[in-house]
Amino acid sequence: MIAGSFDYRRPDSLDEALDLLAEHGDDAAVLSGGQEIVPRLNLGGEAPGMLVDIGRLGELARIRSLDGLLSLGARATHSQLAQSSDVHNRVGLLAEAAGAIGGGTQVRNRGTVGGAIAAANPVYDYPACLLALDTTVHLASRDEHRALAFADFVGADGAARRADELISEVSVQAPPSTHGFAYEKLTFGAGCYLIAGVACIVDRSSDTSPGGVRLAVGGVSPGPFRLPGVESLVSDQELTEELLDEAAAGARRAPDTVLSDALADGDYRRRVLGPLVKRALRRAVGEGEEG
Amino acid sequence: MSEPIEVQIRLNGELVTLELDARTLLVDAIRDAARLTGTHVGCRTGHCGACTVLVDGSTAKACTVLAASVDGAEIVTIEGLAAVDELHPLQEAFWQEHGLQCGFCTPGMVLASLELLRENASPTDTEIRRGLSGNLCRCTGYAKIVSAVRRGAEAMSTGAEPGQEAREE
Repeated sequence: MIAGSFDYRRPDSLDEALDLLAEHGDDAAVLSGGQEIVPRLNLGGEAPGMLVDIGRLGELARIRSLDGLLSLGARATHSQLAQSSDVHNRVGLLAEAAGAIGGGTQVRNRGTVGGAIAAANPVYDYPACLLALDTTVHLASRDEHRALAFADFVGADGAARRADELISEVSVQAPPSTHGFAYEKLTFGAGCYLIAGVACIVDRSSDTSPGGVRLAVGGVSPGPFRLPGVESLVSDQELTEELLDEAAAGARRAPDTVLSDALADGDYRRRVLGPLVKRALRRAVGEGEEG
Repeated sequence: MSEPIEVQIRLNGELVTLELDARTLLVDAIRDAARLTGTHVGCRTGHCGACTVLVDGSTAKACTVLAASVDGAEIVTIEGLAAVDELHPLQEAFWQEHGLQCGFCTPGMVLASLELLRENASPTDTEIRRGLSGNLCRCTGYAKIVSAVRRGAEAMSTGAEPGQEAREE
């Protein structure tokens, strides 16, 4: 049993959940898939006064494809993302990243996209991917609805969710059908958090040189970040070995602050970033594919 | 202190009503309240996978789930795979291939393998290893576990799977 005591609530409707957060938000925590918060409570960390379990809010577990948008309910699990044909066909980058989240199928079956981004853990996989895509995070509260671009939602200081707010939906603009993508990461083992991860999206409508290259990095700094210098260096260019080496060097220089933990120090993270950027670019443009 | 709450689950096919503190983990409800001790507790942090059970047909690490959250759900533990005195083909395969040493991780390994084989009836060794990446064997007996899953896959693809039949009835 969890040591700290809390008042457990499992609201039947979104309105009821938002009322609870409006009244008790400062002292409440939200329970979605539990893969972040339950282990933390087990370890005896500070318990919230109230736990608001949103497990009955079925409308938050849906994945919908609307025109050019993919709408992920906050309670959609990593397994749902990995297995959804809509996610696969329209935003393959997210399906790939969700299916490779560490901790095993058990964790992916319960962990949710909303829970993962609310945690704003820099060594999780979604931040780099959602930053590379055009992503909007929808936050509901009793009195208002906010829609934040992902770059404004998460940064080095954590997530911008207020205590009275619930993440309701993450909506992602599907890139054009001509796009290529890759998510390349380095972890110590299959169950481990990121040392570094690179999400890459390119436009493959030209045979020789990828256009509109987007590169986003997770695991390396306190918040995810894009690599604008490297993106403009390689966009609309033929990916020669020399150019890839230059891109890798640029990536290595990019981060201002680097994380250091038991798995890797800052210098190591900086050094592995270059090779990951090269791999991600090569795979996103389709190098090694047949035909 | 939180008030005790009533949690009703279908546990290995049987409807069970438990009076629990809201802070009770699913794994503790199964072991202490329902007295089924086949589900093991290794880490309580979601890392080791020894407490793996099926919740509505999908694996979960029961130390990362509050019992209250699965009110109304169908839970299958290692005890629910086969009738008493019988082994599920996958359990039989672990036995045949010596896919266990101390046995502590085994219930979780078997249930994680079962989910893998339901989605992929003839996985490669790489797919087996990936499918079991959420489960740790501290004896490091992984090679035999992979052989056991391979053998289990063969056995299950040739014969009916008892666990599946029970659920469909």
